[in-house]
Amino acid sequence: MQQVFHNFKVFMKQAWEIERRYFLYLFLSFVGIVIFSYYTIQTPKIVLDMIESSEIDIYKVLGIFMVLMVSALLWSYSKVLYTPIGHKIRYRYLLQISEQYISIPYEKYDDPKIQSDVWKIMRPVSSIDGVQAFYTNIALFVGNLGIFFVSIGILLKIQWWISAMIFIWFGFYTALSIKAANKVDEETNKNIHLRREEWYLDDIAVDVAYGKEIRVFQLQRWLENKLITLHDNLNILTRKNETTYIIPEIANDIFQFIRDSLIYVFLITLYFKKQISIGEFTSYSVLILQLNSALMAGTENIKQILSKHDNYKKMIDFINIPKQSNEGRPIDFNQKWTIEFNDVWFKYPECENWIYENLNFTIEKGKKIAIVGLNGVGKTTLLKLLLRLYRPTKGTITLNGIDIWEYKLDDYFELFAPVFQEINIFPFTIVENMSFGRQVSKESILRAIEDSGLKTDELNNGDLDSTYMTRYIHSDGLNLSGGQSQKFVTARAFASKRPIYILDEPTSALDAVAEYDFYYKIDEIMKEHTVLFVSHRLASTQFCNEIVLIENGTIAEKGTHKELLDKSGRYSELFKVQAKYYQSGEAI
Amino acid sequence: MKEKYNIFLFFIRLVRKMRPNIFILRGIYSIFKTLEILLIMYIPSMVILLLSNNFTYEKIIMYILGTLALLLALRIGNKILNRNAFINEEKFSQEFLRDISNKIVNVPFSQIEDSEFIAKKEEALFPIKTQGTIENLFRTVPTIVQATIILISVLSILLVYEPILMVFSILLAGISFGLCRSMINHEAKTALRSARQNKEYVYYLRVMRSSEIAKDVRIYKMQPFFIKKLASLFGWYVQDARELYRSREFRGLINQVLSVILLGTIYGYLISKVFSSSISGAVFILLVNATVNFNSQINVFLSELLLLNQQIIYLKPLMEFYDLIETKNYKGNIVLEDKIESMEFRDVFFKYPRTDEYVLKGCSFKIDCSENLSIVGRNGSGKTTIIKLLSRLYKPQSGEIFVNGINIQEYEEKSYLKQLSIIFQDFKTFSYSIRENIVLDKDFDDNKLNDALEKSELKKELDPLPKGVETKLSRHDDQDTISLSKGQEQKLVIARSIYEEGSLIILDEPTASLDPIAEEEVYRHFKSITNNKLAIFISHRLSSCRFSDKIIYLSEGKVSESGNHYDLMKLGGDYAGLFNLQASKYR
Repeated sequence: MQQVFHNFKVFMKQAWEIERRYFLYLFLSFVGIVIFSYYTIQTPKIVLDMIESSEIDIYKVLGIFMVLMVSALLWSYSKVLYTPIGHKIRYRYLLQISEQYISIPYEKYDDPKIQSDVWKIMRPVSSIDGVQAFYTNIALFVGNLGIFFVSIGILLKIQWWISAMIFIWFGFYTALSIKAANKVDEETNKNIHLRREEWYLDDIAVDVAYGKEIRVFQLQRWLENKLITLHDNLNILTRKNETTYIIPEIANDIFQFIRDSLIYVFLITLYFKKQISIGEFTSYSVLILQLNSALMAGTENIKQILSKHDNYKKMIDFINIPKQSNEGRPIDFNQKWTIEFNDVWFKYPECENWIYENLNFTIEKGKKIAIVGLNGVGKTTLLKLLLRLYRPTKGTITLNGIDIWEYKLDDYFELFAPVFQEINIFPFTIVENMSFGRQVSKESILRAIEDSGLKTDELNNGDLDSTYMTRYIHSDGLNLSGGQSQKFVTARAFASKRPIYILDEPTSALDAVAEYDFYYKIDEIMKEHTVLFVSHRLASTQFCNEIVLIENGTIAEKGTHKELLDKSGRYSELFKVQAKYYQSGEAI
Repeated sequence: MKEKYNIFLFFIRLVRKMRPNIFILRGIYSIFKTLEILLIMYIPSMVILLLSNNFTYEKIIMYILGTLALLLALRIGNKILNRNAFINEEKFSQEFLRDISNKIVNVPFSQIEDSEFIAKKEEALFPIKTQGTIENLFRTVPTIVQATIILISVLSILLVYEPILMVFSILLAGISFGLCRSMINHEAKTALRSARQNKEYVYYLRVMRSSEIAKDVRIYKMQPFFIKKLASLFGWYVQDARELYRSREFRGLINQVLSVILLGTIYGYLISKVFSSSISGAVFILLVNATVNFNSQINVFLSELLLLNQQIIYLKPLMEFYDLIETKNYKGNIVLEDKIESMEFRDVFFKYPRTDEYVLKGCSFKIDCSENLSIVGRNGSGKTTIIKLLSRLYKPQSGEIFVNGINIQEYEEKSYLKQLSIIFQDFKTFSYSIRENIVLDKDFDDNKLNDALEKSELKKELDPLPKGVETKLSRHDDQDTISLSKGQEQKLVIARSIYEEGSLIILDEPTASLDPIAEEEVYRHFKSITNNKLAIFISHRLSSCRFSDKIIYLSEGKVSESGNHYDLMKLGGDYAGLFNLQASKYR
């Protein structure tokens, strides 16, 4: 209950900040509905009285008519005004969730638990049924409260036990309904992975890369069976949820039967005792029915307002996670600097195996370092540690002797221009793909594109502002081939003008000539820069002045290409494995 | 109107095809629900009737309790019927979505690459997924039927007592309908506009959920940029929705005002009648109740009718989408039972849809007798296109492709594709267990799986995992899952292609992410993988060509050089140039 109260406060505060008028509309709606329902209930009685006394007051009748008209207008028009507000606030929350989601530290983001939590967190704002319904129902509830007060005033005049019975049941039924709604919500949360899977299957059906796989491997049936299993599970859930919902409703039907029987028996008895007339009989029964329907509608509203608060709380808590701090020491970019890994140990959370044990390693300004090693030795992990995406489990990484985690995050990121293996091109213009809102001159973008090996005629003649990439959003967008795409994201790194390039297999999709050109130019392009280079093609590491071979969680060999070859160690072994195919001679 | 009728029929046919029992359930439900509503309306009048007709106390009580018990039975029965109908409707929705998904995975590949097709799909499914179109249709149609029956019964009461009131009620209902009509159309248009923007939102969701993009987003500080885009998109949403909600609520306002007018008029009319003593007080109450009921039912009727209209407008893109779906027009019916022993491209010309330039311009080559072929060429020379044609994802504009001497279009698709084992350059893994990723939909055989794991070098990657091959590569289920590195994924798809046991193996850059040792191992196994089979190998690492019986060099959409490694080196052409360029760094 405390949680509900807390959420309620937060939601009301949000409404106050975004649309203060919401509260005015609530008030108008309340006033309108109180007057309207009072006169709707009273009118038959007033008219009956007039008929019985045979005295007609035309002004009174017209007056009531006008009051009904005005109050109906007030009530309906405030509804016109407040209904969109819930929608607006819902999208405000969705934006806040998105902002948080896209900004949470990578370490947390990478945790699968967060990923499934976000699905739950988004639930209150991903359909009308949630935050939006909350705001609408608050308003409707305020209206029902009006009817409720009016009915109470009139009902107190009738038998107290009828009113008491209706009220007690109302409380009981509301509690049952809320409990049912919460149970359904919890069940739905527990099975949220089914929705994720459904989304995933829907997604891959239209994905181009999956499209080939699905067709060639004839996976259509396989995927359909996946969906059938998934839907069977969803059906079990639906069945369960529908049963949960229907129980309080059937209980309510039974109650209504008992209530109606008691009321009619009571009223008929009164009639036979000649205590009431037929007219009174009718208006009493109309009144009781009206009260009942107002209360039942109120139950629906209260249910909407009081249920789902676990999810609301999750959502509010998520939004309130403090942003990754951007406080810390500033970095002077012109200074000479060194980055050092000091006795770094690392393992992924909840993993047994150490990826790194006692890693020591230095990066100096202007150096070009190649990181080589077998698949799975943790080359990418090393980059993640360096990029502050993960924290070392033990040991420190320092920049000029100070822990990298003590620097201002924005400044620190500003040091690195990574090109990861995953090639991401976004459905925006070329300029936007290169700059993402930062100030970057067109000349430097064109320069970066040229350096990456892309020709401007491959990019719509270099029309940077109005050429959209990919066809995902813009149907006339530009699709690049694999090799072109790789050059394109390399250009993005170049355009950022950051001092340290991190190149993870930057030429894996390029042909031999393009690759050769890339490494041929690299000295020229990266003269001033520090480079960390990851590649399995050992021949391309030759432009680097230091090669680091990682094995068994630590650095096994270090030196220049020539030194390591002369040493005849592991590196030279690996090199020879690759090189033998390029020697002239007999078949192998 | 005719169009809307057709859309409605289209929907009805879908239901009839998938879940015809919904009609029965909803039919029975409609009848009983109408009875329930009429009974609720009738009970007060019945009581008055009983009271004024001098029945005995016991008899009246018995009648009333009996009627209330009947009402209770109807209520409970209707709830249960409704629940069962709802569960069936859910099943229909699922079957319907599966049907669509099934159709999508079966359309020709060119449609998947056509972004307009995908956009149409988003547009068609958006209202179904977010506006509850199907649920609404299932709700509105029976409600309209109920409302119609109730209206007719109320109208007949009015007709018996006061025909003028009936005419007046119908008149006001007509006005209300007329005022709302244009608003409804406007609402439907606005809703459709929002639907079009949805694909943008779906894209942003994907950006947020993609761990591949997450690193870039953080380090290049793209967050403000994306949030700005998202905020402006939401701005549109909110604006559209405001229009939509206001219009919808405004209709409610019109109805409310009209109902007050109706009520006022009826009161005025009846009061004057009472004074002229032509009706009694009791009949007055009955008539008031009847008109109030008429008014509320006409509101239900109209708003449900308009809702139906709107949902039908929403269904229009779906029908258009169904029309867009192409079925593969391969008429081939020759079942390929033997292994593939020869393959030939004869003068093949091909360009992608919506482009002008031919990728292949008269490409011809041939392999047979379990030869290994390497295809070499610069980026964009059409190497991958050859695979797409061979796997029948596309059809050449002219020229022919033969397998075992028969044009591949003549083969029955399933048996033909079964003979192919392909690793695409942009291969994908599925978020299910490793075993499922390898075995896919084929029969599971432990020995075969082990063999595939050994030869692909995946086995030693799995050793440290407690659950081994059963470990999930899941993105939607968060327990005991791992994410593989690019190199490990590559080993996995190699294992998949070994398990596939096709007789024509096609490998497009299969070792791009492998370390030298793993690459060497794959090369070493290559002979046994492709033993007695045709194999096509595409790689920028020309080292792989040393194994090939035959190499073709693609340039300008044609085969410009062909032969084995030594022939081509001796020739000293483009291939030799490329090889020497790469080799220069290894010498």
